[in-house]
Amino acid sequence: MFDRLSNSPGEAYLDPDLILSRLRTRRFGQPLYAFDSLGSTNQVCWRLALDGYPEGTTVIAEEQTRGRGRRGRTWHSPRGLGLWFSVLLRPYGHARHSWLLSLAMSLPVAATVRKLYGLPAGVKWPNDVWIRKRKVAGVLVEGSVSGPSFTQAVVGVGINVNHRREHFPPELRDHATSIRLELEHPVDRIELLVETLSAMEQVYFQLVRDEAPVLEEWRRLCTHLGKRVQVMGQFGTRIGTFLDLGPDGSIVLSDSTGRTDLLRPDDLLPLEESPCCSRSMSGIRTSS
Amino acid sequence: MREEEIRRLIRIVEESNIAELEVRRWGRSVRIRKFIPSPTDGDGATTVVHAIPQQVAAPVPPAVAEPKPAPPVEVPSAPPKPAVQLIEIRSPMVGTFYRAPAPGAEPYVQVGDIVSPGQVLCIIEAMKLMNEIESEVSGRIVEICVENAQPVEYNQVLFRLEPV
Repeated sequence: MFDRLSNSPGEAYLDPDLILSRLRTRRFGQPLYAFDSLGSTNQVCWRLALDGYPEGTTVIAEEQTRGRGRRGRTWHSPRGLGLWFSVLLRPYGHARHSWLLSLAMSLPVAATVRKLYGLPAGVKWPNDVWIRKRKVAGVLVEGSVSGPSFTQAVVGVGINVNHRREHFPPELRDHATSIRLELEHPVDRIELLVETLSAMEQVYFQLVRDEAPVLEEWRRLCTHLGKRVQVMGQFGTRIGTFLDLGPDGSIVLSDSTGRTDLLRPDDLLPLEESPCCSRSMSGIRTSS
Repeated sequence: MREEEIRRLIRIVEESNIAELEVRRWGRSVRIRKFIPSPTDGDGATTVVHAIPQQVAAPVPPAVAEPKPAPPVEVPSAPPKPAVQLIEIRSPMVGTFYRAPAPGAEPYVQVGDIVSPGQVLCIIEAMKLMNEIESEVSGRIVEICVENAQPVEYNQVLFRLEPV
């Protein structure tokens, strides 16, 4: 059905046997389907969801030829440089609360990058991961709602890992970064993958028990909470201070006149950053 | 909540001194109440009272009715009515309504289309989460009540369907 994973001699690739031998999760990453090249891991994972595959089923590819972003945008996902994977979940929650999953899933990526490499990774509303004002990872969640129930979801994660500057298209070079660019040396992608899957699983299980600690941790790792932001949406463009998360993941914005509004923007641009790198991790324990 | 989790909760209640346990998560709650036998009754039993959605702000129409794990009830077939009663599909969440999977793509459904249960009607995006909204009923779409890319509120009517 798909091209199975193949490696060139000497190339460090995402060997599924090696990944499974290092995986310490209960569900996430099991079963694991690894591919050399795919259109989109979310698309294949979604197909497996419709075929009844279990929660935790994970699809990973060395390269995505049509990596998906939001609303038909593409996600640049070149061969062998990043982690492009999707995890199938069956939350069985009320659809009104589905936004929590989208918000929460950037958190384990940021936490893992901080833990493994000591980098000042933070979350950017709603679900990107930034290091020093540049995007290092993104999450795209696609869900299915039947009646009031949020029945299944595919969480797609893209992490820029071993990119050099020239690996990014010119238009992204000032906005994107990679772990390698930040550390000035390449890293073991399998270690990052298994640690991220572990952290994602912990956050997910915490979320379905009680979302409060997850939201608390999100606030702690948010790069721009309490700072000036620009938000864009149906209401136009507004600039103000991002005071807090509101209901349904909206934004409480206070402008220079002291007016406070609850907004649901399409996008948000931080104009200044919080020193989230100096804050300690607490609340959700990532495995050590 | 899954069956095995409810069973686990029942076991917890049975093995404890508590008479009633309510667990809430993601807007759903399950309450398990232990039946305390009177001297004339037989063994004690634990029953799942109900699983109720929280924060139901308005009456939920039949099209999006909450599936209840209650004992099955015979639903009498509705007597024929002279006027056609339209089925309303309402938004299960706050978000942005999209008629197509991507800009420029064909809309999932058009007015006049006949849809069946499980068929995707639209996408509602909330916080970069793209939710495909499935129909739970069969029917012909007579009205699409929201413009593409417009924000929608919880319980807002998205589609009106004529039963087929």
